[in-house]
Amino acid sequence: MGAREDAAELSEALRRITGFRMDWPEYLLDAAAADVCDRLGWSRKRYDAARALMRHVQHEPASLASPAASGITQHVPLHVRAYVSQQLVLRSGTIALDAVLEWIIWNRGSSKPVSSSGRGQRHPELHEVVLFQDQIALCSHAKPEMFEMERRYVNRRMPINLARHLCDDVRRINMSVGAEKSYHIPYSTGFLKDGFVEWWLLGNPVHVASLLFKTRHIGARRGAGYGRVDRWEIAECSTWDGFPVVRDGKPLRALPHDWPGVFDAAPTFATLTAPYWDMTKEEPAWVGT
Amino acid sequence: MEQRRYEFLLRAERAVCQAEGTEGNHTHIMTRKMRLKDGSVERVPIVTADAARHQLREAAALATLSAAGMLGEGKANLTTSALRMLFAGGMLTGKGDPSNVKLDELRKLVEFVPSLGLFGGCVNSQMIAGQIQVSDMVLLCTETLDFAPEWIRESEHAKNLLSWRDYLDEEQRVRFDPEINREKQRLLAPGARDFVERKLEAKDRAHDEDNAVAKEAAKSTMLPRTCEVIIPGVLFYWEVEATTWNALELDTLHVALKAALSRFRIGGKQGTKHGVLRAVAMDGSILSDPSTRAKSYDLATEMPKTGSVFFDHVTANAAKVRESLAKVEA
Repeated sequence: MGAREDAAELSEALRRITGFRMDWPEYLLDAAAADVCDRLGWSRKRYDAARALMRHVQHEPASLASPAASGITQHVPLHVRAYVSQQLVLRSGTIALDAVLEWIIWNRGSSKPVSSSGRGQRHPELHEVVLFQDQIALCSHAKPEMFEMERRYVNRRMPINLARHLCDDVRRINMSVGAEKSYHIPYSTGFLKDGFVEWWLLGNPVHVASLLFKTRHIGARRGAGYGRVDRWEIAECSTWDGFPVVRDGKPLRALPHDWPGVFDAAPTFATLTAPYWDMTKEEPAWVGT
Repeated sequence: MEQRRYEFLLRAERAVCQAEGTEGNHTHIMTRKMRLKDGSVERVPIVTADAARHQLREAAALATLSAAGMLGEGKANLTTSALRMLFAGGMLTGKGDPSNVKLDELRKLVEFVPSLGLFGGCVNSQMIAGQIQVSDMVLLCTETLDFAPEWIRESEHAKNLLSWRDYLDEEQRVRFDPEINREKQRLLAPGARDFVERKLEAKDRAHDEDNAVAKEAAKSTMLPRTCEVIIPGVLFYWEVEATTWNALELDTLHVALKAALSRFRIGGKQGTKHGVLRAVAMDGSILSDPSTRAKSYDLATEMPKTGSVFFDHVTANAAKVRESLAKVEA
């Protein structure tokens, strides 16, 4: 948190410099650094650390401003819709928005992608985006109805022709077993019946919007163009008893057995925190019937 | 961090034949269900995003090997792991601890093999997410025009379009049986020639006797087969979206695009020059910068600069590229 406060303070100090712009060349920033360090009594090391954090979040100007002053740390009830008009691949049938948001934060935050996050590895910034209660993200999970389902395949074949020229020490390739085995794996795609996926959550509207607007595909097989989001709609909404994870006694996401207000649900085992595909972390839970 | 979208219009210079499946001796063209503007769902011919993305991956991998001086007789000496990682994205081998992400090693690998960061893959029991989303190459026709980018819809290319049904053709080809050719029979060893002659006699006898079982047993291997193709001259539109974190990644992307587009061969029957595509127009936009979101930038001025960062970087780190590829488990 100290680093973020430093970044906010530095942001304020830089804005006081006439004509300051984030995209100033390095020599102007060096001059600005000398000025700021002198005025705030900072070491150059402290300035560099704060400046690095500023660069890191410069695509989210709102997060640099004094959060308390602008009131953006408040978590408010939000209704989020992703409009997807073409085909979408959903492996488990659901999309968890908190997992989508965490994925973006992890990948945005490092200079190279990170793909694994255990329960203890939740990104600290996620708490500023979505509200948590007892380690559970207060965010519904969408289970959209799909139609016109279609079976397609993902294929892989060992590049034998290239192996012949590029792998001189390799004498034999067994394509029927092991790492070189070819595959032809089916998967299902379909269209959203309503044309959109929707979620409810208690979250920070500025952070949620800035993260989601960088997201152009949802679901599985995004690299092959599936689940392209035509547009996002994020709006504050009214609440109900149990908002946003329970409605009329039905859980809108997997919830632990001691969650209040759940009376119309089925018992099962489910993973309660992202990544939700990790079945080794399943525990007793309620899900909607 | 920068997110960019590239939009291409490609012309089929030869017939395109990416097969979806076969029925007997007939090959069907690849199609995809699309929801049209009127809400109906129809199957429309495409070239799959997977095939197109693979072309980019392969182009980037070959460029990396070339810049590192590893292309040529006996120069690469890759392991099968490295080959899989470069050209097929690797796989989870189960070696290593997937719950323990060694970020430093991952960063080094992505630094020395920049294409890995862009296209993603499975390395050392870690899944590395790609940063490129590639769309299908969709046949430009009356059914799909509404989904094409605005600049294509408003261009000359969008005029006089027909339904995709008019753009399909059926080819028939025959694999000849050399056994029934008298001249080729002279090349056979005496025992083999006797066998073939007996087989031909048995076939004639079966025909005279109208014996279906004997006919089947003595049948020649001549194989007529039919194949649906998309005719030459038609247009496809294609989108590539990418997230890049530095100049090297952006340049790697441009190298991959330029190399792949300079020689785009896609689908089956490439031995008979099917599947040759050529880019005829392109456009793009920087998505992560709201000020440029509405307007496009000129790719033609960007692309000539391609390669300076990528080739300098890989050439300067050739030894480390070689070392990384030798150690990789994918």
